[in-house]
Amino acid sequence: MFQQLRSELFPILKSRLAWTAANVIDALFLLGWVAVQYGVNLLIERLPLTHQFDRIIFFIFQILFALTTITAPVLNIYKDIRIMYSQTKSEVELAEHDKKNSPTVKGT
Amino acid sequence: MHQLNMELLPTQCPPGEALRIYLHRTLNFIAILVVAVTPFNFLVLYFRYETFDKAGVVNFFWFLILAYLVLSGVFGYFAWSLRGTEGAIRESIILDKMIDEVKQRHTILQEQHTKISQWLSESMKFMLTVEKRPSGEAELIQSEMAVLKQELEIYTGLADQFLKDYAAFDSLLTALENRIARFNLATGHLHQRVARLRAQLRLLEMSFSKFDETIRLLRERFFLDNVSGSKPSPLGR
Repeated sequence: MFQQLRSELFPILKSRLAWTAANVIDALFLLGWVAVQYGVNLLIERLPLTHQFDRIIFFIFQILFALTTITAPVLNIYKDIRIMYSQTKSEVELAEHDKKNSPTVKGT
Repeated sequence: MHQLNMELLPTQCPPGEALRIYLHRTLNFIAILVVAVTPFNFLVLYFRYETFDKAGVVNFFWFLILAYLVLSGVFGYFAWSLRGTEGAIRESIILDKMIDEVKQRHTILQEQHTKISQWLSESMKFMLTVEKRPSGEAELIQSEMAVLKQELEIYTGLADQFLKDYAAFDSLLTALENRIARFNLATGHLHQRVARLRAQLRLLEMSFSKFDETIRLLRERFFLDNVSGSKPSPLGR
């Protein structure tokens, strides 16, 4: 009983643990991005910007900088989500296939 | 084999492979940061111009240029080396599939070899008793020899195909080995894979040489009228 439970649960746990680890690492990249934005913001605040025009330039810069630098983490997250989606899809297809081919379903 | 086909998450790959993928991602992220931060440096420089003395600004400017060049060089090197590693891994994966085909052909050849050997041993027994047999069986012997000749022809065709595959695979593997040496790709995973492929190829080569030699001797013994394809094995390296 314990052995069966272990053999069934272990692969699922392993897979979910890998998913969690991948998500945590992706989140760390995002955290790095947030830290960089925070640093940039602090630096801009310390600049002696006297004119409104200067502030607008830095505001535009901040948006462009944020968008440019978030590309890499977002693309990685997208890639990982796609992989998780395809793995889930395969699991569902396998379960459906098993259900179709099970003797009880065939018999009905 | 799974690291490039988008089927597994990096965390589901072997540790070395996962590390490589995350290193690649980190370098990508840092490279984008470095590139994106450069115009920012100039902006900061421009707006802080009044607070710096002129010599300080000029020095800072050159420092930025130098730092940017050095960083670009470092990241460029990493990108180049990672690109080389990825390319080599991709090639080794293709070679992994190719060696399966070479192995399949080798198996078919071995089967043909076994068939010929069995046939020959039976024929030998038959021919040893031929003097005691009625003269009418001479035709039977001839027809059996014709069958053997046919089998040998099939073998020759298969062997030629195998040799072609072998040569193609060997040259690809050599190219990959040279590429690894040129890029100095010190990834243990890749080295192991290529070494394994080379070992497998060497085994196939030894096995082929062994049974091809047997077939050649048999051919010389029974068909001195020069059966087509009776040439020495080009595998003798």
